[in-house]
Amino acid sequence: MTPLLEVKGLQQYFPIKSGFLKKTTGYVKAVDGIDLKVYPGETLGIVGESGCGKSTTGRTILRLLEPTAGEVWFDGKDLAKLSKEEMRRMRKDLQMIFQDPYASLNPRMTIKQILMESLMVHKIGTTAERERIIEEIIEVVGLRKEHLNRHPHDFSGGQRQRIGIARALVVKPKLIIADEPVSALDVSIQSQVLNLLKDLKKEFNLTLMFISHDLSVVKHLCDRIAVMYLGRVVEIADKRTLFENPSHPYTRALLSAVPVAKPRQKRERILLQGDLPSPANPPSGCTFHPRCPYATEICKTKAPSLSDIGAGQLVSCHLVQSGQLK
Amino acid sequence: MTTILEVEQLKTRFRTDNGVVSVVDGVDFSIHAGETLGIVGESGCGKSVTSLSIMRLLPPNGKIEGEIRFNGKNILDLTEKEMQSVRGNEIAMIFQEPMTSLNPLHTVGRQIEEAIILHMKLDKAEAKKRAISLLKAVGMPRAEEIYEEFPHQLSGGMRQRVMIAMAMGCNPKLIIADEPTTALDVTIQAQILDLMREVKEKTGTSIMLITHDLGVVAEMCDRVIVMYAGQVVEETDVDTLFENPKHPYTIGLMNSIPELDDEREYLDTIPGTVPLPHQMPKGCRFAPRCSQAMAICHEKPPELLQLNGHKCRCWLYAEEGEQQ
Repeated sequence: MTPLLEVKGLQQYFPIKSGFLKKTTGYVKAVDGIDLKVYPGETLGIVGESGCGKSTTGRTILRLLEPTAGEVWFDGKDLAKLSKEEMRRMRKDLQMIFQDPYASLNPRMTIKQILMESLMVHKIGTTAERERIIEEIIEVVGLRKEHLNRHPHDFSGGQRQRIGIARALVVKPKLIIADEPVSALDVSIQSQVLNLLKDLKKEFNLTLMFISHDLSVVKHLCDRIAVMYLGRVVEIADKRTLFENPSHPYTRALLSAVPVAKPRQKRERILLQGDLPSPANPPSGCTFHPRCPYATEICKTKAPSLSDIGAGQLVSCHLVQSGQLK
Repeated sequence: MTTILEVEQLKTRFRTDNGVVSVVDGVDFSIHAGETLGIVGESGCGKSVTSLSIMRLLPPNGKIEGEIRFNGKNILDLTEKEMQSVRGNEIAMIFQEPMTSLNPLHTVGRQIEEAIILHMKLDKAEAKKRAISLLKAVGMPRAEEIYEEFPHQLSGGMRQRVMIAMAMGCNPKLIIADEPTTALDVTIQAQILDLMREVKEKTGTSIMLITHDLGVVAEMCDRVIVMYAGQVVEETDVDTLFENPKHPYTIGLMNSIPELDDEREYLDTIPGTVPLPHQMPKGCRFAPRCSQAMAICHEKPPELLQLNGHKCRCWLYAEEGEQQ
């Protein structure tokens, strides 16, 4: 199967400027060489802790940030090389759902205007057709027609996120990138939105890139999962493999750190030492080595690359690749 | 078992443009010495206002009624001056946002010392010694250097360690932790929860842990209170809560969370949203969202029933409650 989206060697460096003349004195390597494939109809989850570059990856793919280097192949075109105008037209097929439902809707527009805007920008349908499309989509996301004339402040967080989803869906995109769409919501509302996304996946055969820090949510919704650490992907596998047989030491620690709602169940927990290093000055070799309980000499000097350890599970770790770590 | 904190019929109201709004409405609970009590609920359920009421840290438009007895004394009767000797000394608080709750203009050391000098009457040199030993106790590397550093030089996890060091400063009898790990990443959260357990074991302080995360509750707490719309709807020990939850809200909350070993295709949901404080339903506050609501639920508010070591505010258990 050909992937719908293929990211090759994507980099996003932010310059650090200092001094009176604002000379560039270094770079924050937010995304440092990422390769990803997203196949039609699948949901790829991207997990990692804050500062690992997962949101920057999503934004760079959509060219909300200009990539420093790398290729983003979508539908036979390299998005990174398109002109601004070509990219703008391309966004009909690439939509985004944002994290904060309070900040991502214009408070002065009605819901109808918000949804209409997308259709007008992309010149979809006549006025009558647009009205019909909007009335349809608002019911698909579980709201009612009466809601269309209200403003965002009339809605709760969960309802606003439904509007955000409707705005992304209304232009019938081929790929949706959702950046932490449920993390601002309470758990009882979060489950409503997750169920909605599951329904929409089936109904519209959506291809979704789902960025989240919450492993349980990612597991619930995604087919394949990529784990990021300090601007790089350290492991990619299908959901079952990743959760039953996590291989990278970071993935293992991450999974074991999730608190489980079962008081009597005692689990082996891998406590990582220290904090995430600064992406402005990442450690040499494998960037995880200062916190890795298994690190050896080679980890300090040579950066590992992603390679297949079987069943489509890609891991970026010397020890796993050489069989020293089972 | 000695009880160190007893809250009785706590009612906290705020004067607003929409009239008087009751955010906490008749909350009762107690905390025993050396115990960790969890308070769970979603945003707007009144869990944070409950803790701020105990500390008497409400904004000027807030009004507290009821009784809050700490070591037998009603702290609502204390003068502001007397209250100051309780705050930070006998009851300490850890806030959610370590970034906004530390003063960016003072060094870490100075902020930890402030309460120590005030309450323990130590001189500067002794206070410094204690501050550094506290920093070491919360697992800070290079404690002497960090003593001189400013909050912005530290990561989120380190700042939360500083907050815990500050809270431990005067050996408080009770630490109130309001969502202490919500702003942190899971691997850092695991470190901080581990530290809090260690602090509790070493010092024997009681902890009131406010959180929305049932996983954190399961790992940390001895007893749990579930709050909904300003009221306690369920109270029991942590094992019973997870094995045999009674209130439909608690059950709904548990079933709406995806878990790592979860194979469900769809999550259960609780329809609708939390009622606004000035639009409370007439009967049970959860009734409009409850799948098991009966006629009486919409008419008459239920009491918090005593059910064999388990408290529950629900009409479904009215008969069972009468028998006991």
